Amino acid sequence: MTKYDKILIVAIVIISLFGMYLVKEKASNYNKKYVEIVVNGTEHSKYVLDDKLDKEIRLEVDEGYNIIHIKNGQVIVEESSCENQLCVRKGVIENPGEIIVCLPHKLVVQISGSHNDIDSISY
Amino acid sequence: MNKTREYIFLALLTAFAVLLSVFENLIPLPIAAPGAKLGLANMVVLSTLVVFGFKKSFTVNIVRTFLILIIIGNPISFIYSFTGAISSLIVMYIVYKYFSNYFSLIGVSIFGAVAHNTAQIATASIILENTNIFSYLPIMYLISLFTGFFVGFSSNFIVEHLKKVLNKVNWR
Repeated sequence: MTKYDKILIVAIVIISLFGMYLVKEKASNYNKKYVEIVVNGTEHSKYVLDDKLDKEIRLEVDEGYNIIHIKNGQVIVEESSCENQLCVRKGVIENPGEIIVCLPHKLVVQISGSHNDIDSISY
Repeated sequence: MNKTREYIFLALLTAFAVLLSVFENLIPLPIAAPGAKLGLANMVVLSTLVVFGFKKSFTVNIVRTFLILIIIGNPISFIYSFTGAISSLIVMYIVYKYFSNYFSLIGVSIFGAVAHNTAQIATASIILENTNIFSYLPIMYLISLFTGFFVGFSSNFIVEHLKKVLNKVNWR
Protein backbone atom coordinates (compact mmCIF):
# COMPACT_ATOMS: atom_id res chain seq x y z
CA MET A 1 0.00 0.00 0.00
CA THR A 2 1.48 3.32 -1.06
CA LYS A 3 1.12 6.80 0.39
CA TYR A 4 -1.34 7.73 -2.35
CA ASP A 5 -3.55 4.75 -1.52
CA LYS A 6 -3.91 6.11 1.99
CA ILE A 7 -4.66 9.60 0.68
CA LEU A 8 -7.31 8.09 -1.61
CA ILE A 9 -8.93 6.21 1.27
CA VAL A 10 -9.02 9.29 3.49
CA ALA A 11 -10.41 11.38 0.61
CA ILE A 12 -13.23 8.91 -0.05
CA VAL A 13 -14.09 8.73 3.65
CA ILE A 14 -14.30 12.54 3.77
CA ILE A 15 -16.37 12.72 0.57
CA SER A 16 -18.86 10.10 1.74
CA LEU A 17 -19.21 11.59 5.22
CA PHE A 18 -19.80 14.99 3.64
CA GLY A 19 -22.35 13.42 1.29
CA MET A 20 -24.19 11.81 4.21
CA TYR A 21 -24.21 15.14 6.00
CA LEU A 22 -25.70 16.83 2.90
CA VAL A 23 -28.43 14.18 2.62
CA LYS A 24 -29.27 14.60 6.29
CA GLU A 25 -29.16 18.41 6.10
CA LYS A 26 -31.52 18.41 3.14
CA ALA A 27 -33.97 16.28 5.13
CA SER A 28 -34.25 18.48 8.20
CA ASN A 29 -35.59 21.67 6.60
CA TYR A 30 -39.15 20.64 5.91
CA ASN A 31 -42.30 20.94 7.94
CA LYS A 32 -44.63 18.94 5.74
CA LYS A 33 -43.86 15.45 4.54
CA TYR A 34 -45.24 13.36 1.73
CA VAL A 35 -44.92 9.71 0.84
CA GLU A 36 -44.58 9.11 -2.87
CA ILE A 37 -44.91 5.69 -4.40
CA VAL A 38 -43.40 5.62 -7.85
CA VAL A 39 -43.61 2.58 -10.11
CA ASN A 40 -41.68 2.44 -13.35
CA GLY A 41 -40.99 6.18 -13.32
CA THR A 42 -44.63 7.24 -13.01
CA GLU A 43 -46.27 8.27 -9.77
CA HIS A 44 -48.62 5.65 -8.39
CA SER A 45 -49.88 7.47 -5.33
CA LYS A 46 -48.97 10.22 -2.90
CA TYR A 47 -49.99 10.72 0.71
CA VAL A 48 -49.39 13.41 3.30
CA LEU A 49 -47.27 11.72 5.94
CA ASP A 50 -48.29 12.44 9.51
CA ASP A 51 -48.67 10.43 12.69
CA LYS A 52 -52.35 9.77 12.15
CA LEU A 53 -52.10 8.10 8.78
CA ASP A 54 -52.34 4.32 9.00
CA LYS A 55 -52.51 2.65 5.65
CA GLU A 56 -51.54 -0.63 4.13
CA ILE A 57 -51.06 -0.67 0.38
CA ARG A 58 -50.81 -3.82 -1.66
CA LEU A 59 -49.09 -2.97 -4.88
CA GLU A 60 -49.32 -5.25 -7.87
CA VAL A 61 -46.57 -4.78 -10.42
CA ASP A 62 -45.75 -6.79 -13.52
CA GLU A 63 -43.09 -8.80 -11.72
CA GLY A 64 -44.97 -9.51 -8.48
CA TYR A 65 -46.25 -7.58 -5.49
CA ASN A 66 -45.12 -5.32 -2.66
CA ILE A 67 -46.94 -4.56 0.57
CA ILE A 68 -46.22 -1.08 1.87
CA HIS A 69 -47.31 -0.04 5.34
CA ILE A 70 -47.56 3.57 6.48
CA LYS A 71 -47.94 4.00 10.24
CA ASN A 72 -46.90 6.49 12.93
CA GLY A 73 -45.22 8.74 10.38
CA GLN A 74 -43.05 5.89 9.18
CA VAL A 75 -43.08 3.91 5.98
CA ILE A 76 -41.95 0.32 5.56
CA VAL A 77 -42.11 -2.26 2.83
CA GLU A 78 -43.43 -5.21 4.77
CA GLU A 79 -43.48 -7.85 2.10
CA SER A 80 -42.21 -8.27 -1.38
CA SER A 81 -42.14 -11.04 -3.90
CA CYS A 82 -38.72 -9.99 -5.20
CA GLU A 83 -35.81 -12.30 -4.73
CA ASN A 84 -33.23 -10.07 -3.09
CA GLN A 85 -35.61 -8.63 -0.44
CA LEU A 86 -33.50 -5.47 -0.16
CA CYS A 87 -36.64 -3.33 0.03
CA VAL A 88 -37.86 -5.30 3.05
CA ARG A 89 -34.48 -5.32 4.76
CA LYS A 90 -34.10 -1.57 4.34
CA GLY A 91 -36.58 -1.16 7.21
CA VAL A 92 -38.48 2.00 8.07
CA ILE A 93 -37.96 5.43 6.57
CA GLU A 94 -39.36 8.63 8.02
CA ASN A 95 -37.37 11.67 6.91
CA PRO A 96 -37.52 13.59 3.61
CA GLY A 97 -34.89 12.38 1.20
CA GLU A 98 -35.02 8.84 2.52
CA ILE A 99 -35.91 6.25 -0.04
CA ILE A 100 -36.73 2.57 -0.38
CA VAL A 101 -35.94 1.03 -3.73
CA CYS A 102 -37.00 -2.31 -5.10
CA LEU A 103 -34.94 -2.61 -8.24
CA PRO A 104 -36.50 -5.85 -9.56
CA HIS A 105 -39.98 -4.27 -9.41
CA LYS A 106 -38.84 -0.78 -10.51
CA LEU A 107 -40.49 0.52 -7.36
CA VAL A 108 -39.43 3.62 -5.46
CA VAL A 109 -40.98 4.67 -2.16
CA GLN A 110 -39.68 8.06 -1.19
CA ILE A 111 -40.42 10.75 1.33
CA SER A 112 -40.39 14.30 0.11
CA GLY A 113 -40.91 17.52 1.99
CA SER A 114 -42.21 20.96 1.30
CA HIS A 115 -41.95 24.30 3.02
CA ASN A 116 -45.42 25.28 4.03
CA ASP A 117 -45.11 28.99 4.73
CA ILE A 118 -48.81 29.61 5.33
CA ASP A 119 -48.78 27.24 8.28
CA SER A 120 -45.82 28.86 9.92
CA ILE A 121 -47.35 32.32 9.56
CA SER A 122 -50.76 31.32 10.84
CA TYR A 123 -49.30 29.66 13.93
CA MET B 1 2.82 -19.41 -25.01
CA ASN B 2 0.71 -20.29 -27.96
CA LYS B 3 -2.76 -18.97 -28.63
CA THR B 4 -4.65 -22.07 -27.54
CA ARG B 5 -2.94 -22.10 -24.19
CA GLU B 6 -3.76 -18.47 -23.66
CA TYR B 7 -7.41 -19.06 -24.54
CA ILE B 8 -7.56 -21.88 -22.04
CA PHE B 9 -6.12 -19.67 -19.34
CA LEU B 10 -8.64 -16.92 -20.12
CA ALA B 11 -11.49 -19.44 -20.18
CA LEU B 12 -10.43 -20.77 -16.78
CA LEU B 13 -10.26 -17.26 -15.40
CA THR B 14 -13.72 -16.49 -16.78
CA ALA B 15 -15.11 -19.63 -15.21
CA PHE B 16 -13.51 -18.66 -11.93
CA ALA B 17 -15.03 -15.17 -12.13
CA VAL B 18 -18.47 -16.61 -12.85
CA LEU B 19 -18.13 -18.98 -9.92
CA LEU B 20 -17.19 -16.12 -7.59
CA SER B 21 -20.14 -14.02 -8.80
CA VAL B 22 -22.59 -16.83 -8.19
CA PHE B 23 -20.99 -17.56 -4.84
CA GLU B 24 -21.20 -13.96 -3.63
CA ASN B 25 -24.88 -13.90 -4.51
CA LEU B 26 -25.38 -16.47 -1.75
CA ILE B 27 -23.69 -14.31 0.90
CA PRO B 28 -26.13 -11.96 2.60
CA LEU B 29 -24.79 -8.48 3.30
CA PRO B 30 -25.64 -6.59 6.48
CA ILE B 31 -26.33 -3.40 4.53
CA ALA B 32 -29.49 -3.07 2.46
CA ALA B 33 -28.39 -0.86 -0.39
CA PRO B 34 -29.26 -1.64 -3.99
CA GLY B 35 -26.34 -3.19 -5.81
CA ALA B 36 -24.07 -3.45 -2.79
CA LYS B 37 -21.94 -6.57 -3.13
CA LEU B 38 -18.51 -7.88 -2.36
CA GLY B 39 -17.20 -7.69 -5.92
CA LEU B 40 -15.25 -10.91 -5.61
CA ALA B 41 -15.26 -11.38 -9.38
CA ASN B 42 -13.37 -8.12 -9.61
CA MET B 43 -10.33 -9.96 -8.20
CA VAL B 44 -10.20 -12.05 -11.35
CA VAL B 45 -10.86 -9.10 -13.64
CA LEU B 46 -8.18 -6.99 -11.99
CA SER B 47 -5.63 -9.82 -12.07
CA THR B 48 -6.40 -10.47 -15.75
CA LEU B 49 -5.96 -6.76 -16.43
CA VAL B 50 -2.53 -6.79 -14.83
CA VAL B 51 -1.30 -10.05 -16.33
CA PHE B 52 -2.99 -10.20 -19.74
CA GLY B 53 -3.81 -6.57 -20.50
CA PHE B 54 -6.89 -4.50 -21.12
CA LYS B 55 -8.43 -6.18 -24.17
CA LYS B 56 -8.40 -9.65 -22.71
CA SER B 57 -9.72 -8.62 -19.33
CA PHE B 58 -12.46 -6.70 -21.15
CA THR B 59 -13.43 -9.90 -22.94
CA VAL B 60 -13.35 -11.90 -19.72
CA ASN B 61 -15.51 -9.30 -18.04
CA ILE B 62 -18.15 -9.16 -20.77
CA VAL B 63 -18.33 -12.94 -21.16
CA ARG B 64 -18.68 -13.17 -17.39
CA THR B 65 -21.67 -10.79 -17.24
CA PHE B 66 -23.40 -12.63 -20.10
CA LEU B 67 -22.82 -16.02 -18.47
CA ILE B 68 -24.26 -14.72 -15.21
CA LEU B 69 -27.29 -13.49 -17.12
CA ILE B 70 -27.78 -17.03 -18.36
CA ILE B 71 -27.14 -18.66 -14.99
CA ILE B 72 -29.09 -16.34 -12.71
CA GLY B 73 -31.51 -15.20 -15.38
CA ASN B 74 -32.28 -11.70 -14.18
CA PRO B 75 -32.21 -9.24 -17.10
CA ILE B 76 -32.63 -6.18 -14.86
CA SER B 77 -29.67 -7.00 -12.67
CA PHE B 78 -27.76 -7.75 -15.86
CA ILE B 79 -28.11 -4.13 -16.99
CA TYR B 80 -26.68 -2.96 -13.68
CA SER B 81 -23.81 -5.39 -13.57
CA PHE B 82 -22.98 -4.76 -17.23
CA THR B 83 -22.67 -0.98 -16.92
CA GLY B 84 -20.90 -1.35 -13.59
CA ALA B 85 -18.46 -3.93 -14.91
CA ILE B 86 -17.49 -1.95 -17.99
CA SER B 87 -17.06 1.41 -16.29
CA SER B 88 -15.10 -0.05 -13.39
CA LEU B 89 -12.78 -1.87 -15.79
CA ILE B 90 -12.16 1.25 -17.86
CA VAL B 91 -11.40 3.32 -14.75
CA MET B 92 -9.12 0.60 -13.36
CA TYR B 93 -7.31 0.40 -16.68
CA ILE B 94 -6.69 4.15 -16.80
CA VAL B 95 -5.51 4.26 -13.20
CA TYR B 96 -3.34 1.17 -13.63
CA LYS B 97 -1.75 2.31 -16.86
CA TYR B 98 -1.06 5.95 -16.10
CA PHE B 99 -0.97 6.18 -12.32
CA SER B 100 0.52 2.88 -11.22
CA ASN B 101 3.55 4.78 -9.92
CA TYR B 102 1.28 6.30 -7.32
CA PHE B 103 -1.32 3.66 -6.58
CA SER B 104 -0.85 0.01 -5.71
CA LEU B 105 -3.42 -2.59 -6.76
CA ILE B 106 -5.40 -1.68 -3.65
CA GLY B 107 -5.83 1.89 -4.89
CA VAL B 108 -6.65 0.68 -8.41
CA SER B 109 -9.29 -1.65 -7.04
CA ILE B 110 -10.83 1.04 -4.83
CA PHE B 111 -11.08 3.29 -7.89
CA GLY B 112 -12.79 0.42 -9.70
CA ALA B 113 -15.24 -0.18 -6.87
CA VAL B 114 -16.14 3.51 -6.67
CA ALA B 115 -16.65 3.66 -10.45
CA HIS B 116 -18.78 0.51 -10.28
CA ASN B 117 -21.05 1.99 -7.63
CA THR B 118 -21.34 5.34 -9.38
CA ALA B 119 -22.27 3.67 -12.67
CA GLN B 120 -24.81 1.42 -10.99
CA ILE B 121 -26.53 4.24 -9.14
CA ALA B 122 -26.53 6.35 -12.31
CA THR B 123 -28.08 3.45 -14.25
CA ALA B 124 -30.67 2.96 -11.53
CA SER B 125 -31.56 6.65 -11.57
CA ILE B 126 -32.05 6.48 -15.34
CA ILE B 127 -34.14 3.30 -15.23
CA LEU B 128 -36.25 4.42 -12.29
CA GLU B 129 -36.29 8.05 -13.54
CA ASN B 130 -35.46 9.18 -10.05
CA THR B 131 -32.51 11.25 -8.87
CA ASN B 132 -33.19 10.73 -5.15
CA ILE B 133 -31.50 7.39 -5.43
CA PHE B 134 -28.17 9.23 -5.42
CA SER B 135 -28.64 9.59 -1.67
CA TYR B 136 -27.39 6.00 -1.47
CA LEU B 137 -24.07 7.00 -2.98
CA PRO B 138 -22.19 8.12 0.19
CA ILE B 139 -22.88 4.87 2.03
CA MET B 140 -22.00 2.89 -1.10
CA TYR B 141 -18.65 4.69 -1.29
CA LEU B 142 -17.91 3.74 2.29
CA ILE B 143 -18.73 0.10 1.57
CA SER B 144 -16.66 0.16 -1.59
CA LEU B 145 -13.61 1.19 0.45
CA PHE B 146 -13.74 -2.09 2.33
CA THR B 147 -14.59 -4.31 -0.60
CA GLY B 148 -12.10 -2.48 -2.83
CA PHE B 149 -9.35 -2.86 -0.28
CA PHE B 150 -10.03 -6.56 0.13
CA VAL B 151 -10.18 -7.16 -3.62
CA GLY B 152 -6.96 -5.25 -4.28
CA PHE B 153 -5.18 -7.02 -1.45
CA SER B 154 -6.18 -10.45 -2.72
CA SER B 155 -5.38 -9.56 -6.32
CA ASN B 156 -1.75 -9.05 -5.32
CA PHE B 157 -1.53 -12.73 -4.43
CA ILE B 158 -3.43 -13.87 -7.50
CA VAL B 159 -1.18 -11.83 -9.82
CA GLU B 160 1.94 -13.14 -8.17
CA HIS B 161 0.80 -16.74 -8.40
CA LEU B 162 -0.55 -16.38 -11.93
CA LYS B 163 2.77 -14.99 -13.14
CA LYS B 164 4.60 -17.89 -11.53
CA VAL B 165 2.34 -20.41 -13.24
CA LEU B 166 2.64 -18.64 -16.59
CA ASN B 167 6.44 -18.60 -16.32
CA LYS B 168 6.36 -22.33 -15.74
CA VAL B 169 4.60 -22.90 -19.04
CA ASN B 170 7.10 -20.60 -20.78
CA TRP B 171 4.84 -17.71 -21.40
CA ARG B 172 6.62 -14.83 -23.13
